[in-house]
Amino acid sequence: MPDDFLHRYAQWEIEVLLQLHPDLRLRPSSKDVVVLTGTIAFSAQKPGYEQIDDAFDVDIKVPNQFPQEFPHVWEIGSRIPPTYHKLQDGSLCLGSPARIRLAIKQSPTLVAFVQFCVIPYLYGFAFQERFQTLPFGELSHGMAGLREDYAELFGVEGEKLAVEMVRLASLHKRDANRLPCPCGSEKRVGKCHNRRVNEMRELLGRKWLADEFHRLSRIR
Amino acid sequence: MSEMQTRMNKLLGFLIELLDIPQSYYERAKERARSLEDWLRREESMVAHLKPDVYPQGSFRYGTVIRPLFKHDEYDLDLVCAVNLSKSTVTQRQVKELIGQEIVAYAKSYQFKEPAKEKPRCWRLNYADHVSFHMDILPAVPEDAATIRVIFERQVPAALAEHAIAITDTRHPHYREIDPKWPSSNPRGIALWFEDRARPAAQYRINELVRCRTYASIDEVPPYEWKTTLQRAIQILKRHRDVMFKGDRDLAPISMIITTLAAHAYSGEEDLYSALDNILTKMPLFVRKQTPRIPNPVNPAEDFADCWSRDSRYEQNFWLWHSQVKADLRHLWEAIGRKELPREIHNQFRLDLTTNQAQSLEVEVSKSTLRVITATPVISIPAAPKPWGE
Repeated sequence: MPDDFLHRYAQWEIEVLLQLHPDLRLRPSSKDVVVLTGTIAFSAQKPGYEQIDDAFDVDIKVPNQFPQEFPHVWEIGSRIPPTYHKLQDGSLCLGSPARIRLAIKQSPTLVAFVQFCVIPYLYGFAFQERFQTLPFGELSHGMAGLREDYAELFGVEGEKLAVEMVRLASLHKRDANRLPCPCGSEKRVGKCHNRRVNEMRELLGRKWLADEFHRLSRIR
Repeated sequence: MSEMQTRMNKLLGFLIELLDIPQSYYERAKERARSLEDWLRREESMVAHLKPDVYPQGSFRYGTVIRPLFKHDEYDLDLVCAVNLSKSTVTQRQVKELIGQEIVAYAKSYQFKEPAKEKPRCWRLNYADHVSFHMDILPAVPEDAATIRVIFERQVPAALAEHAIAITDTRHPHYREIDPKWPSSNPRGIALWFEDRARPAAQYRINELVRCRTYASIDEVPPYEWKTTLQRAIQILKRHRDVMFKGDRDLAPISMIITTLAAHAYSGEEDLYSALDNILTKMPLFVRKQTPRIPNPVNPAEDFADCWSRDSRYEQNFWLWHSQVKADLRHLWEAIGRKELPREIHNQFRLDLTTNQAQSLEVEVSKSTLRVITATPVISIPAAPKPWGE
């Protein structure tokens, strides 16, 4: 059977999500998505920072291809201004695609998505409302932000180097290892930055990283 | 039974009080069937000699009718009108029109506001008394022996298979010709199957009603008098469905699917909460992986979920509903004795407890030991994705 909804929803842990967030309700679906609407209430704290108890009204659209594709989240209570981190469709920009992909890869359930991607974003926003500072920092908008993020992910300095690392991770392991390391050490990648590159290749996937590399090199 | 479960059952009982229809509606439905049957059997009737048999099918037969969600919605009373003709001598159209002429005359003679309306499979009559009903009358003839034998060979007990009927459909390719292939149905067979599933739980009440002489014999006690936890559970589930799909009625799981799966899963639980809990847990076991996904129990070739393969959204919405109603039952349990309860009941069922009901639940709660209310645990976020923007 092509679509085993029961099995899929069990893997997504929909029932656990509804259990944890009783004010989030499933909506009838007329498309290839699952829509949850309602309130996410949370008590959260970054260690050493203030605890925040808050609640946001949201719409969550989960594509049937989850976890390969990401859910999108809209804040519908008009608290988060359009100038804060949002995507072009008005949905919340929870983080760079690589970070969201990593989080979902690590535990591919809706429960984890809400806990590790949505609540931290809402916590961050609410924290900023109260204390005018973001507990986890933020990325620049656009490609610059992505390059900053990759620099951090690959543990390298400089955006240009970060993009080179994405390219290496998008190549087959043996091909990448033979190349000279772009960090300037004059060693082969296999003897230099190979650990982080291999790790990211494994976690994010070669093909996905290839698309990312094209995106990063298109607009400079 | 735990104290919590007792309270939960009390609450569910209150919801049933709000959802259930007065017994007089069932009686009225019966009277209407009888009145129409009397009309068809009167001397001048063109079908009097064909032994017309008029009987309710669907929720009015099972005793699972609920109040409509919106005041202006109507109750649908589905009636079968079978006449003793053979598929080998008449066309679908002849049967539809023969019965139709009498129904049109009936509407005129009883001064219905509107004339009888023809639908593809039935005739519709609109009643305009203080309860808005419409009656869908399904013309039918007995199914032929060969068809019944085929159904019987699919492991359906003969006592159920023999009630199969052939029905008419204006959209059928052979509507106007004499042809053995009529659409087949078996509402009486399904009702008997359903009643078999419910009867063990109803036995005590049936005996009581006979002992008190409300009915002369156990066979006369109609299913709407049984009030079993199966029927109650179906009422709760249908209401939940109505509320969840109030803006998208086309996508809602159909009552026939909910009723059939619930009847399969039911195992005579004595209290409503256990029945609901068990039904929701076991329901998925009766959805087959291959077609027919949800076979008609009295004609396994027929699939109640035939639309699922045409458009997967129907299946998707069934499972979404199932996930939601399962979670909601738990939410209800957790909300008892807390200020969230009225909102929870409203969100799930668009119902509000009466003052008496609410007070009586509170008394129940305060009698018991105080519940420890656990606060939401604090989520610790050592690291998180940094927000970004395109």
